[in-house]
This record gives sequence, structure tokens and C-alpha cells, in this order.
Amino acid sequence: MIYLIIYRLEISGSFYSWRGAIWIITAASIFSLVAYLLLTDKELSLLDQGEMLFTFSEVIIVLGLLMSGINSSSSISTEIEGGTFECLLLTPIKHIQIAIQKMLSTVTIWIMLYLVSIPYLIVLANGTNLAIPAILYVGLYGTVLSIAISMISIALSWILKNSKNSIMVTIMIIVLLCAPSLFFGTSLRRTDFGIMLENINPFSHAINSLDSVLVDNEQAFYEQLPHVWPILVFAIVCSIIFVTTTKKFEVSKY
Amino acid sequence: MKSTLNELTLPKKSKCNLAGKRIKLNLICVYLIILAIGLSILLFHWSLINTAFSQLSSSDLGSYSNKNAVKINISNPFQVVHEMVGKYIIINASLNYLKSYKIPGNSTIGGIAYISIVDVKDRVPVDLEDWSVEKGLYIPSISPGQSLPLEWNVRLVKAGSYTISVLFNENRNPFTSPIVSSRINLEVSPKLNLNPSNVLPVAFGVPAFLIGVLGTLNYFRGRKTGIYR
Repeated sequence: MIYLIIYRLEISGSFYSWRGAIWIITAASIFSLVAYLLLTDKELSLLDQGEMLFTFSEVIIVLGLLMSGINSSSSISTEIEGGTFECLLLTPIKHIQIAIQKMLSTVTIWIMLYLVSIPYLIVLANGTNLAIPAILYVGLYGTVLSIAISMISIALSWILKNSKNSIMVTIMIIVLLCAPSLFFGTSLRRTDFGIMLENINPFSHAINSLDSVLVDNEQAFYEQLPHVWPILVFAIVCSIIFVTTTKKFEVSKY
Repeated sequence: MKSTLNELTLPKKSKCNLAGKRIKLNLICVYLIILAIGLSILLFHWSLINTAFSQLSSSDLGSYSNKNAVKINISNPFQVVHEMVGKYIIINASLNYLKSYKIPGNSTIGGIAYISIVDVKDRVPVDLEDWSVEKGLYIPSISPGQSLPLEWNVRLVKAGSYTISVLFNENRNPFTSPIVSSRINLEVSPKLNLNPSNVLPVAFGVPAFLIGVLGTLNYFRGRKTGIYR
């Protein structure tokens, strides 16, 4: 079990104390507010259930990515800043395993967030056949994107060796990924530039796929393959960067 | 003396003549004015009649006949529909091209049938964006004697009093006025639902459950480490 000691330490910090676990209550409160507004607000309640679920799925994934990014972008740099990284390197674990355990703790946070969101998805899909597709596709895209963002954030955390800078860069990357889907208007998204951005952006693929599943009712997996593979490619690219960067932590570098 | 009398009377006569001439001139002027007014009234009426005739003889005459040729019958026109906000109602109508008004030449007509909703209380037409997915139906052709059923699903978005009517714009003549059905009166009552889809138990329950679980975990951890005894 020595191999999972860093993972257990990280998780205990995130769940076993009030201060560490306040994020999950805050996330649940955000979900409650969004779900209640979607169902009762005069304007929002006019949306079809598919569109409500789609909006809620966007909130889950964006929140998950932000939490994964922020949590993992400070994982190595805080150890360096706190002077505990040397002790960490003295443990009989390979360097990449340290990074992987840090990444797994972040993914666990995403999984907790995802589990908390499931009752809301079921309530919003009440009376339709969209509950299971929503749960499965949000789980799939959220997990793959969370893993990818965690890996690239940990790599950044090691490269920059400064929590403030690595968190800022990670947030910028997440905002850049979310921008075409969340901030661009429909007309801009339909231009050549918008289409090009959406084609290369894994987050846009995830959002477009959820739109296709929940709003257009195209739930078969083969119908979503054109959206799935770019996300997998992004995850593979992130994992290559992660492995290359975290293969060997050198103490002399800092 | 005579000569002086003559001299004296002559100017009197000329004065009378002058006055008579002035009166005559004034009368002529009055006659002329009356004539001018009469002529202008006549011309004005003539122009109106001409305009009316020209309008009747123009393409709008066809539109008038078409207006009668096509009729839209709407279901329950004299009934007030009472429903709640959020419900869907179906507006049924039928577009009838009457056989008796067959137009020579190409007898079929086509056009767009659409609904119009008017907010009676606010005195404004309603933007159909949220009310109906299909605002209009394109009808490529309808033959004399034919009847087409039309149907709209209307979602009642806001409470209030409304009238709904169905209109038909004919394609062939761009200057014709649309054909309008009778109106449906609609009373939409507000709906107050604080717990749609049973969201309240989840919205309050999940954070409460998490607080309970984390509190219990924290308590047992505290017991273990000696913080709570």
C-alpha cells in the first residue's frame, strides 16, 4: 500500500476535515441552485427538458474541469514552495508514480463531484428517457477531460514551480477551451473561424456531443464517435506531455 | 339754366350707371366663385369615383374575390379557452378554397398560413418565439373545393388574456390583404409550483446529506485523534 500513500494523504486532506471538504458542499449548493432555477424560473423553465439537462451538464463539466485544474496545478508547486518536495522524492516511489497519485487524487475529486450531480440529473430528466444517457455521457466526457486537464496541470505545476503562476495558466487554458462553446455567439460559431476552433477544441466536441445526445436525442455511441475521438486524442497528447515532464523530477532544478 | 341742369343731371346719371355696373360686376364675381366651387366639388367627386373605379378594375378586385374564395375556419371560435401557464393547446383550423369562386386560368393557389396571438390586456402582439415551434405553414397549392387541415401546438407561456387567429397570405398576388379567421379567446391563468419534478427534496437533501456525512466523518476522526471525547 506504500504505492498509494500520497494518494491517500491527498484524499484525506480533501474529505476528512471541514475546511478540506467545504468544496463539495459548495458544489452541491451550486447544483441545487442551478437545478431549481432551471425548473422554476419563468424564462428558464420554458426550456425543453433536453435543453435543461444539456445546460446542467455544461455546468457539471465546467465546474469539474475548474476544480481538477486548480487542484492539480498547485499539487507539485505547493510541495516545492513548502519545502516538502525533497521528502516526497525520498520515498521509495518512482517519480512518475508521485505524479500519477497526485493526478488520481484530482480525478477522485471529479468523481465525487460527478456522483453528487447524479441525483440532479435524474430529477431534471424526470419523465424522459434522457437520465441514463446524460449520466453516462457526462461521466465519460467529464472523466476523460478531467484526466487530461489534471495531467497537463501537474506538468505545468512542475515546469513553473510556482502555485500562483501555474493556477493562473491552468485557468487560462480552461477558459480558452471553454470560450468557443460558452462565450461565442451562434453567428460567430458558424463562421469558418468558429468552425475551425470547434473542430480542434476537445471541450467543444464534448459540449456538441452532449447537445446531440440530450437535445437531438442521438444517443447511440457510434453517432458520437466523431466527437469522442478528438477528446481521446487530446487526452493522449496531455498524457505524453505528462509522462515526458514528470518522468524524472530533479531537485537541483529548483 | 337747362344747360346747367343737364350739366348737373348728367353726372347723376353716370354715377347711377357706375353703381349699377359695379353691382353687376360683383354679381358676376359671385357667380364665378359659385361656379368655381361647384366645378371643384364636381371634379373632386369625379376623381374619387375614378380612383374607386381604377381600384376596382385593378388587381385588387381579384384579391377581393380571392378573399371570399378562400376561408379559414377555426375550431371553437366563440368559446373562451381557459388553461394554465405551461400547458400546450392545439389550434385546429381548416383552409377552404370555395368551389364557387373558381378563378379562371391557373385555379390553384398557394401561400403561407400562420397564427397571430394578441395580448388583450397589454394591447400588444405576442412574440411567438417561445409560444410555438412552427409559426407558419407553407401551403404550395390548394385547388378549388379543397380543404386543408391546419394545426399548431401552442405553449402557454405567460398568464393573461389573449386572442388567437389564423391568417393566410396568398403567394400569387403580393398586394392582396391576408385572409383572417375568427378569433379564439384565451384566458391563461398563472401557475404557482414551488416543487416542479420534485426538485426540492434533491435541492435541499443533497447538500444536507453531504453536511451530515462529512460532519460524521469529522466527528469520528476527532474522536480517534482525541479532539472530541
